[in-house]
Amino acid sequence: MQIADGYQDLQIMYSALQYDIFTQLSEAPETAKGISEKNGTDPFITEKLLNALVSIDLLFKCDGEYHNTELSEIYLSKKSPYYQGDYIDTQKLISFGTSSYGDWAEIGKALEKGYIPPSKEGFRLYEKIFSLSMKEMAIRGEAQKTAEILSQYPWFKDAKRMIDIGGTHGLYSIALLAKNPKLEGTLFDIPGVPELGNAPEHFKQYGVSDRIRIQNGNFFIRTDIGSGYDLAFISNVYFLGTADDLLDNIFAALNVNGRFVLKNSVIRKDRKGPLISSLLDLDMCFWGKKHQLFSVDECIDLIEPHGFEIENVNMLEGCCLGAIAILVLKKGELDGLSKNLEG
Amino acid sequence: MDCQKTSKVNSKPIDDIIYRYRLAHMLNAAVEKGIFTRMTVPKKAHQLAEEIHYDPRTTEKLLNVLVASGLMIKSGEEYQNSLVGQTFLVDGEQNYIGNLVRITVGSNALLDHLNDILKNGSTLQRGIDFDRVQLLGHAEGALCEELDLVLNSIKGMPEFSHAKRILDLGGGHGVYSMALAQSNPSAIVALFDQPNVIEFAKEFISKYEMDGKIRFISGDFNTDDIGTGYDMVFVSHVLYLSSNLPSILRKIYNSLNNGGTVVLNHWMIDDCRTSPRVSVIFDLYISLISRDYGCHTVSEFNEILRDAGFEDVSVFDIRTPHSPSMIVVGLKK
Repeated sequence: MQIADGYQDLQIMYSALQYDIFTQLSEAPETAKGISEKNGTDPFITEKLLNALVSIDLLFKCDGEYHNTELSEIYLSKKSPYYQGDYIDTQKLISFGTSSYGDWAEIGKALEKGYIPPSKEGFRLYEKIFSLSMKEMAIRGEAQKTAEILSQYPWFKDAKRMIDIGGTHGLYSIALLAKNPKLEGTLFDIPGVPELGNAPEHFKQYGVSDRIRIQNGNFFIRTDIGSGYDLAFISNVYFLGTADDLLDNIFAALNVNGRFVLKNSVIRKDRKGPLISSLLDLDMCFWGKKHQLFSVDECIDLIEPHGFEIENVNMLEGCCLGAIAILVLKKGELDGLSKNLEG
Repeated sequence: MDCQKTSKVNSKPIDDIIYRYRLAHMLNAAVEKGIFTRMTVPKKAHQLAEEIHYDPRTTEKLLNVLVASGLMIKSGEEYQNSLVGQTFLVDGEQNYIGNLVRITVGSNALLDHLNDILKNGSTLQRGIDFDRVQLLGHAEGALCEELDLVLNSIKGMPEFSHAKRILDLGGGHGVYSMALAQSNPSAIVALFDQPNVIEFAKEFISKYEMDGKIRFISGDFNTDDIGTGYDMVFVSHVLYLSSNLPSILRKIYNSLNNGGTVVLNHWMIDDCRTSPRVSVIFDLYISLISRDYGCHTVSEFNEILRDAGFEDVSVFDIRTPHSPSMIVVGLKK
């Protein structure tokens, strides 16, 4: 029953986010009547909703007034840099809203029919909410932790040029640039996506506009993404099994002995968990025909034939997308094709 | 800078809320499709997919999630129910709670209306439907969560052992009627409910070969006579309404013999109305059906019972994390 009654809390949190109640309470605590008047909502149901938010520890009540808890103040108020509202919005949907299906309540239908290519209108990958959602996932700790891990490597300290592929919001770039003052970067993404993710604003905000540029292009197909890079970084590649062009693009862009860093959600090889990874692996079925999670070893086996050699694997703990591995691979002298011919 | 330092507060509770939502819907989908009932013997994912006409790729991933949730086990390429899955989710097994899962997750549809109702104030204005799945679900809830706790409380009451006539008012599935009749074989137990519910109760009770031991009375306790001469009136999860609660309790009072007791078993909300979680959320979503529905506090029941004429009101706390029930007992002197 613990599993069955678990759906309710998200519904309640979601409603409160729709009315932006946490941002309002961030300004000042308020009574149920006050919240209801501010939002033009029914006072009777508003009070019950606020009480339900207290019962799930997202608010607390003191002297008739409702206050944000520390958790909701940090993650659910738009005043906080760690706001997660857009992320929560997409997480309520199957495949973050990139599929033909809607809410996770439709999972029965999705399981029955499997992957159906989404209509153009239904596809949210290049919508603002998706980009904001990715940003919120990064800023809650994954970007900072990733940069911290990479900054420990001697090669990172010597790196001068970096390319952040599919970097959308630019937060990984910013976090990496902060760890190496000599580093300059390129954020490479589909035209329009960095703007949707507010990357130019983020670069200004964090004072790195003069150290990073935006380059547009389609990295999913064989294309010239540039050259002379010491570091190529990419995050969450759910189509690694069919990413030959992407991996060849990265090989071509790196200097010899340059590092390719892949930060990816991973699953146990026997697919028995961890639970969040298994759920994400199921979710990926509805995103794309070839989308799925791989184990660390499978990732390495898919990447190395493209001319890379694994150097290190670090695991990130406590991430919203389950088990996350940071794979550091070194570019060898031979590309995948030459390696195969030599073999 | 924010993207160079992490927050001191762990965001895990937010993630847990999201994943619990996903898991609940996934479990419901698996139960509705009868997957656990088909997985009593080891099977490969594609075999199950063929049987239930599901997409094979998603079926395998679904089974992996069920393994990671502890509801199935995987050996090589074959999947099979775990002990928990086998015990609680195989239809026909004694401890099956699939219908309880379905009605619990099905309440999601009510919360879907929350934003609209917040905005326009008008509730769904309908009664609570008691279809077959609802009744089976409530029976499963009683059997797996509360029955022992309720019965142990009642068995300790001298009024129960001396009772000759007991009424299970709004008794629905009849689980409590059967338990009361078994625990006090010398008493005549009557189950009172709406005609369609009585039909279900007769069928359900006959499975336990107890139909000869229970009397059935059809009616609407809001408007119809409930009879007289009872030594105990038992009411479980029925009185989540407010407007006519005093008149119903007065009716119960009048139906009892002197020295008789009323035993109320309901999910209770604390005086602050912000805990426990299950009651508060239940209070919210039944309010979406009608403003007349809601959870009560112990003090509210206490007051209404006294106003109806009951004395020596006592309370038995039988709350569990999933079922925050309390028993309130009143005596007619």
